[in-house]
Amino acid sequence: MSARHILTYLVAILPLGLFIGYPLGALLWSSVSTSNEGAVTYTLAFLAEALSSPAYLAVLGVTLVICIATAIISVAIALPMALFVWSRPARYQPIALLVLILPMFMSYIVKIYTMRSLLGLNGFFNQLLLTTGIVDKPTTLFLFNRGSILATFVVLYIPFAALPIYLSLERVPANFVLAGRDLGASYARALKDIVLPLASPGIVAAALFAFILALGDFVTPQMVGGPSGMTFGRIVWSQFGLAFNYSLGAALGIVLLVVTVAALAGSGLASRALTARMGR
Amino acid sequence: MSASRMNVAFGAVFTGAVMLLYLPILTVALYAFFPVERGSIDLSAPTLGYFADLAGNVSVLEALANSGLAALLSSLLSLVVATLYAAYLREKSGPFKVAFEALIYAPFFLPPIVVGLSLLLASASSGIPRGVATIVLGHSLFTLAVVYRIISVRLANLPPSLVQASADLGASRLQTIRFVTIPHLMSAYVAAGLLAALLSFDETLITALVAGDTTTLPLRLWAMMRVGFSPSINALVVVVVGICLVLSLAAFATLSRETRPA
Amino acid sequence: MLRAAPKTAGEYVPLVGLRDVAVDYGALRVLQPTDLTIAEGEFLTILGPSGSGKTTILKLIGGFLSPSAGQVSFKAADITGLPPERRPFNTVFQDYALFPHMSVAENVAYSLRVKGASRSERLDEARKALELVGLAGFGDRKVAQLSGGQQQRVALARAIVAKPSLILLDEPLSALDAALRHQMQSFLKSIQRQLGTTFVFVTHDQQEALAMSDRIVVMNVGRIVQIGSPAEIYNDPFNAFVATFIGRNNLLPATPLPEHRDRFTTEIGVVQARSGEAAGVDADCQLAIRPECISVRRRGLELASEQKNRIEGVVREVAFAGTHYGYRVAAGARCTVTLECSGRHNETDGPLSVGEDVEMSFDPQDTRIIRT
Repeated sequence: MSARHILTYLVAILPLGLFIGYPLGALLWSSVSTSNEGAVTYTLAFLAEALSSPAYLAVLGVTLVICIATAIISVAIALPMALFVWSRPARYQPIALLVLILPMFMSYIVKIYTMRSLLGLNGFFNQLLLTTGIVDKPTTLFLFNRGSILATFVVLYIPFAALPIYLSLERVPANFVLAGRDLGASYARALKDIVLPLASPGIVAAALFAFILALGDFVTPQMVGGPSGMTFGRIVWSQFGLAFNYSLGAALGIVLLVVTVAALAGSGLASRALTARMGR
Repeated sequence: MSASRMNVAFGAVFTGAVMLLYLPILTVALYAFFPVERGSIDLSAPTLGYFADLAGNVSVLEALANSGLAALLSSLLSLVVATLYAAYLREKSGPFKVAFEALIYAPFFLPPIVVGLSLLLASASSGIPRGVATIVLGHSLFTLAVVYRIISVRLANLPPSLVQASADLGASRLQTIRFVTIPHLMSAYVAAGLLAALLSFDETLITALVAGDTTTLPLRLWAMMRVGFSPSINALVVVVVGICLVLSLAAFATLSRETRPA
Repeated sequence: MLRAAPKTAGEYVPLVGLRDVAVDYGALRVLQPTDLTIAEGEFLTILGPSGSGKTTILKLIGGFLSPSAGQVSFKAADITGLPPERRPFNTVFQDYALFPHMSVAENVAYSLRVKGASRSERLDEARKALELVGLAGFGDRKVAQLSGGQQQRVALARAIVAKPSLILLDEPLSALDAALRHQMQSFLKSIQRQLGTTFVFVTHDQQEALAMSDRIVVMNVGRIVQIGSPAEIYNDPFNAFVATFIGRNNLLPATPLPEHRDRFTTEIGVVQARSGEAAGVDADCQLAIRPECISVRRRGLELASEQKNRIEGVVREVAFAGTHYGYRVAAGARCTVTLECSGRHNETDGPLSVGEDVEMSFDPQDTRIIRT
């Protein structure tokens, strides 16, 4: 590599380093330092607290359970949806795809609002129960608990799960199902043996998207989770609001970052292993 | 299970989920056009009154202006940066390119809260005040991944023979870019720009962390939601969803027209 | 793997039948009501240009498509509504449709796996099938590591491993280059003889059809035009479409002379056709003469052989084709005759050149009458 090449490389990577590397560095730096009237002291206390406080770990556990459940349920709903779109005749496919992914862009905050109205005291479910006489006054059963967070996450992230699944299905040649059936497999068997293994990278990506998006979400739990719906994202967020503890917030953010990187790495391995194993 | 039965099952899931995804928004939108008295809706007297109220709401208008500005500036910024990187990285390969692209895609794959948090701490440590500038920066980082992806894929699809043919016919490098490369990329630019504007307009989590005292439409809506139910929220929902719908349909139309075989 | 010996020519046992089968796509009828019987053990080729309905017939037999009307039968049973997985037929797809996430052996053994065969049986049968197609030892490879010709053989092995009653081949050679295609033609034919399995082969390539088939079904615009052996199809084309789609032909519009029913007036004068063939033809028709059946010589030279039909003309185009010279000769006012002269049987004294005056002759026996 010539000096000129190295120079252009440095010039090219500079903005990325500045605007992505520097903030991530600031996150790391803030998590191990604290400044008091200009005097900076370095300490691992914040990271230690983030990793050892039983309260934080308990919330992390609950958050991981909700996020994994979100990933599984979203994929379980998105997969048949994507298969449905994929098996439409070619000329109806674009419109079916549009219907599938349009909610992705129909405003995140609006969807939370509508879920809140759906689940709330005057919401659709309560109206239904009241009209049918199952309850005689509105119940808070639907709102302000972990179930309502999970339900809202699923509604928010189904389209994000459906798109990568559809994109990977689209790469499966159309006549593979016919070839499988020609060789004696039922439609379901052909899907299981041929289509799903080939689409498994998309399915893993779908689960990953739903998981990561849910992991860092702090608006949804705040709006539909109520006091009992504390999640890790909300704890991090609160360090920059009421608690105003940047260093602890950064340390907690590092924990989220590590979980995310682990999920990314794990999904890469899972995707490769699944494709290989399901072919057998 | 037979093929038709499976398809019926898939169709049922599809229909159910689509109703779950669309009906709540449609219901809320309906509430924006009719007077609501003590929780029940009066369908006999449609009104645009809530929209008139919005038009007189200074904080909503200010939030709308900020959102529009951020969407415009951040999509332009990511288009320019994505073009430069797509052109620079086109001929590259190996670990350099992998590392480069990992950096470009990172803000898209990390949870928004981590990206927002990092930017917030960076602005604190560098002394840059939070406001429209930090919002634009945050949105550009986030949308860069999408825009870069669209443009670099389209650039990779430009057959080298077209560039060679242009040079063979006597065009200079600049003329080739002007008459061959840019027309080839044009619809990718339109789609990527629309998508970036849409993502920026809708972005909430990063914005909440880097906005400081500035407010955008999603943040305004969030604040109104915390106070409680009001018909003007429904009207604002209609406005926000309308803008998102127009942008996404336009992006979708551009992309699907392009991918259809000529 | 080896099954019954191939059926002898006389034995004709119907295996699959189409009765009045028609296919509509919306308002468009892509297959007119069609009857076809496929005999056990035969190599049947369905030949036609694109859009002729040949692939539609293949899909009907395979069960990939339901007919809008009519019945598909297998032996005595009605299988019209039977899905592909329950038909004892296997297909070699045009693009092979080999599953990329499975090894070669796993691909070949897939139908046995679906049937619930044991692992050892699967491996054993896959190995035998791969041996038969000349790919012994390739079982553990990935599909992507194979050449096009090898993938073709894997697709064939996969189709024969379960010993189906019939194998459908959907233009399987169209993706191969010319040399490989010729090699695969004789290979497919020899496999078919060895197994005695019925092959239904779809192609648009007339040379392929002539070289491989026991019977050829010629199709055009959604209907069967002619069914016959390759020689019958070539020598006795039923209509102008068959005459020009299979091999090349000179077609001359002709009117029968009232008192001589094997003599016709044409643009290039009176021509005598094969005797007896004209029986019943008293309306306008066409005469078909194959280019290789026409002799040519420089005008004024002595005749080497005396033939009844003679035309004079001027050479307009000369093309050297290796085995022969191709000429286009203007004759009469508006007529151009195409003819081929092999070097050995050239009745000229060296190749002709453009602008030379020539005399052409052809035997009435080689002059077919085509009803219009």
